[in-house]
Amino acid sequence: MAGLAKLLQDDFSAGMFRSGPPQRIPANGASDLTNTLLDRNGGIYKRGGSSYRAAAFGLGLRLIWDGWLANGQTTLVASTSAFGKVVGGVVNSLGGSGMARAGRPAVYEGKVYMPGGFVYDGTAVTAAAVLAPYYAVVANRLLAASGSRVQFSVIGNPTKFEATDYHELPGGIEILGVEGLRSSAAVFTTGGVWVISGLARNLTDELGNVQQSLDLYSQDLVLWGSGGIAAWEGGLVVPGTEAVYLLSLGVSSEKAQSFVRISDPIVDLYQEYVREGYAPGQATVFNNHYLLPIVGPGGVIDLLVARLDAPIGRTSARPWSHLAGAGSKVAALATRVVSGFSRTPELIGALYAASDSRPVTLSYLRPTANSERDHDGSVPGWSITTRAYPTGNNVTNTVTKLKVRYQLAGAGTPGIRCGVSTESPQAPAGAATWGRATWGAFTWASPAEQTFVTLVDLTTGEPLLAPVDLDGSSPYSWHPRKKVRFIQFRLSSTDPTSQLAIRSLELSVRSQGRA
Amino acid sequence: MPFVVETGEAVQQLVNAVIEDADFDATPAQAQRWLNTRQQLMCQRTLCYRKTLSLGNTVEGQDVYSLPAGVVRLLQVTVGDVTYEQATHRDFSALAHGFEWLVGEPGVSGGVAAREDSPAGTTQLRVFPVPGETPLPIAVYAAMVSPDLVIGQDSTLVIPPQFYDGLVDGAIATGSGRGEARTDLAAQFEEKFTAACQELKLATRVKFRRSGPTQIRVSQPRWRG
Repeated sequence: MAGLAKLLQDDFSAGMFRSGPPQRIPANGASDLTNTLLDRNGGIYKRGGSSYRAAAFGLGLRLIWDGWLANGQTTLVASTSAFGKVVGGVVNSLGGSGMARAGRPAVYEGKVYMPGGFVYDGTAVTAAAVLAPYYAVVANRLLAASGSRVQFSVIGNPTKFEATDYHELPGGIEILGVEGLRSSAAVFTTGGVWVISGLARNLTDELGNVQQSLDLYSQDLVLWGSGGIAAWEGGLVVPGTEAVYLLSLGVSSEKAQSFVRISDPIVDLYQEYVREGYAPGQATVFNNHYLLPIVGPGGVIDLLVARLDAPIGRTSARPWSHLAGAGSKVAALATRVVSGFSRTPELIGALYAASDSRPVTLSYLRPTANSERDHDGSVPGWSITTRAYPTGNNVTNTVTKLKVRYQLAGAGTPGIRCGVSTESPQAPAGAATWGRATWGAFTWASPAEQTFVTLVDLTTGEPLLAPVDLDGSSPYSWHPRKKVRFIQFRLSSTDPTSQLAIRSLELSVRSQGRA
Repeated sequence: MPFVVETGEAVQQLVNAVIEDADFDATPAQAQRWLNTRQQLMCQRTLCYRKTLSLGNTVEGQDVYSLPAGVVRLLQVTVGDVTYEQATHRDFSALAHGFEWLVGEPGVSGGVAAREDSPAGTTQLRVFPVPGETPLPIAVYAAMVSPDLVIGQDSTLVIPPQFYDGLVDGAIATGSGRGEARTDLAAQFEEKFTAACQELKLATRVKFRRSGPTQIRVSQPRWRG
């Protein structure tokens, strides 16, 4: 048939958009990216699996940490009832009361300070000099924040807190977290963010002049959960109740820069998680990917991923995707650097479920033949939902073909199936359901699974599957044959794959004569 | 590409071909409907689908007999093994009033027959002379409208297989023009369909060649002197 118009998308660098109708998504965006990560070239690929690191410990893990303590490299976990140390394939209990939710440990002079005051140096368990729910280390001081007060230790001595060495935050607020920013401390409260600067100096000099200052940075940013804070490139990634921000200081000064809001593409989804009463788990940054677990009642609801080093165009927003499946049910993530010459970074996680309370290795960013499956043997289901492509002229035109260039490999005979949305790409009725998803059960509130019809062979009724293609040289075509103004596709695979990457989508459209 | 027809799946294959070849946003039922219309049109244009119909015996004094539905054209009428000549509608009135005469032996040379339409619009057969008391079997050889296509019943596909492509072209022309208002595309396929019809018409003429006048070798007596 002559006169086909072509529409090509070979760039997905804007990531997933869950902040409006799918026909308003930018040309390099997608509506949903599940178990999908973005590469440096604007392409997308399926995540790798996970594997167990050690035996079960307690009834659900909430924190994992790895670093060097007084007697060497140590991996710690916290269950809901105790702290534990990973030794080989087992977790030895260290006692303590564990953690009910994620938090941020602080480490100084070979000791790790857990929220609540549990201190461990790799050998012995002690208690912090000042018990507090939040600790941070700034300018060789240990900061302990509780209520509306931030106490700071003597420089170089985290066990000694002078009676007058504290800052009392005004305004009837409650501290929600504290983090170090060079020689300043960012204090997150119910009344916004405060910055305590000059912590490298004493509170006053010999003449009684004040050397530290307490400034209200922003009343607007309210921290969602301290566990979600992660450090990146000299700044902090901060999950607020409205959005995720990048918070950093000036290049040569301690003056805080403007907030950079990075979660605009997924703002509807993100704010819905906040409204639902979910909380962030322990986030981390790994290979420039910010990984933020969302913990709800009874499990991990979602695992959001932002590529921090790839801002979308000239905006400050970052591309997002999210992970699902057994390998994403981690309440906490941390980066571990292997000792030795290779210094290979490793992403580790702590499983949330009481029935599977184990540390795991997460090979998200390195899908290989050895990481086709998650730790429980399940295959992470992969899917991408495209934006709603306009077919042209604001009339119904016939979409005759979708040609996909991809790379696909796996131990078995993996295939990619294609579903097409025949519904009007609009938000469904009931604003509260937009974007909500129970990822564990993989049931969509919307856009619903049922709005996507799998393209099948007309004769046999079997789904048409794109076969293995190792180098992306043999694009596969589906023929949707839909006469629509907008069209959305969902590509998915439930097969174990060692490599699954999408290079481009090309639509062929036959325009209607009544244009 | 000609179709490789599998037994019992010919109609389904044509339906799939219409949807797949043109990438129509159409249901199989729609495509089947387009094919159905086009097959009927093809049969009407080419008179390729023919049947011999038995209308029962003549009845004394009854000159009009019902014809089954779907008759496109009467090609031959036989009453009691005698072929009746094709008449026109006005011939019957002329014959009744004696303005036209039948020649030959009464009861041996037969009569004339033509299509008649009742006040209700049903198609009938009229014969002259009015039959007598001896019942004689009436047989009609007629070009018919094709039956409705039924998936799984190849017998409903009555055109020769080599014209399946043309049939699909016709259905695509219908779909392009009606569904997408692409008259430019529809015209291309309409042209192919028309060409297929002409070819089938020619093939039908060859297959059902009329008897026509036959050359008779005339022998003359040789006179010897």
